[in-house]
Amino acid sequence: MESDVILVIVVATALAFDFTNGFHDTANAVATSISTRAMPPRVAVGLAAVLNFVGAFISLEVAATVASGIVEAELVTTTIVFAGLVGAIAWNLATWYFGLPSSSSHALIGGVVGAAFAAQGAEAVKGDGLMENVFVPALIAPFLAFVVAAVAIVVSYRIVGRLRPGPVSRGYRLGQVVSASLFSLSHGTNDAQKTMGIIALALVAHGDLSASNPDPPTWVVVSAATAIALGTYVGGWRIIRTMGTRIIKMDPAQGFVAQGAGASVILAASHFGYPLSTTHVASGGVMGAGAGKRLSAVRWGVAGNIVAAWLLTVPGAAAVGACTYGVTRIFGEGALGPLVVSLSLLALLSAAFGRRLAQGRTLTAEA
Amino acid sequence: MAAIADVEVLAELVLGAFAAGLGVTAVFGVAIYGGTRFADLRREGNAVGAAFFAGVTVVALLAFAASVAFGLTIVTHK
Repeated sequence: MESDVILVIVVATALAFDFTNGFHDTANAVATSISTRAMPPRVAVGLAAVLNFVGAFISLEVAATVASGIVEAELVTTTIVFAGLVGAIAWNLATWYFGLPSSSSHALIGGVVGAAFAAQGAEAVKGDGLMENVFVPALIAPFLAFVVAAVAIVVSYRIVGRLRPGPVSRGYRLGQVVSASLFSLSHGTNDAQKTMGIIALALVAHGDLSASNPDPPTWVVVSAATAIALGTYVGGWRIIRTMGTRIIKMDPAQGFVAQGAGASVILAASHFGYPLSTTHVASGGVMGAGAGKRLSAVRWGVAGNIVAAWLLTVPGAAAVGACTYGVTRIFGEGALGPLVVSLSLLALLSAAFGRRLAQGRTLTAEA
Repeated sequence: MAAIADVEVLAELVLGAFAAGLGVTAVFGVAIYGGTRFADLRREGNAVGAAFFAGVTVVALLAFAASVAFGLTIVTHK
């Protein structure tokens, strides 16, 4: 009975993380399209939501996706996963509140690392894995996307610079629909798998799935796809505003280049087996498309805040994950700790968002 | 550095990202250039020039479609 309760809590928390992952990362796919009026906002997030949903069904490579290679897998318990998820959700909500695009995957890794560290000590964390899978890609992704987008916008202006602006803008807006779709599909394929992996891990620990063949049941796939699509549709408008208008004021050519170069960098990296953070690439692409036109076109203060959020993602989520694990242990090793933490968080979020709705504001829209 | 990041993979990644990013955006820019020049020349009654740029547009759009299709295969096969 107690393990059933823990399973239900972990599944619900994983789906909640999936939802925040969707609305936090909507901006990667749609911010530039909305900013350049390639698509109306609701159409853009609707398209992104549908393609995230579809993307979740494309690939089911779920095995050991939770911080694989970063923490000792055999030391991870469902309570550690729960605490890690809480750390990731808290970081996603905090960065959304401040309108800062940060990596949901790094937040999840940070949360699990912090919880595992609190539970098992330093031997549970693989420092090399953390360096190779998190810190080195985090350095490469934005820098590479920045340089590629900066060169690409110079080349694009050389090609179309002398033409009438009307047809050029219309053409680039059409191109943005394609690049936004690719971004969304890729995001659904990548990120919904993480939630499926977490739920599969919990089902294995509960004895409902075989450890040697942890293929997720259909209900897991459908619920993870639905959660990320709903989150995407709700839309993290604060981050969309930052990515779309606060870093640079972009024209349709810059919007297409930021997104097209970004999508190309992500897919090239996937092709060579070197997955990069979609958020880091998308943000680097936007900054590069601005800097390629004119260095002063980029609001470097906003860019600096975003980079600071990236640097703090793993330690911040890890701290919350570790604290959450500590709090759950106050109530013993059973289901009571996760139950108390989940109910407290639910009450906190209901109070915050309830007040917002009572004031007549939409759930995630900018004030 | 070599211990924490395979330099060969990184070099491939950088070259691949540059080729893909610049290739896709340049090809799409050429499609827009061709399409706009086609419309202008057709309006001016220059059928030969219009036909040339129509061809350029079609080739560039085909190359763009091929790169999108390649991207989709990466998404579906990873």
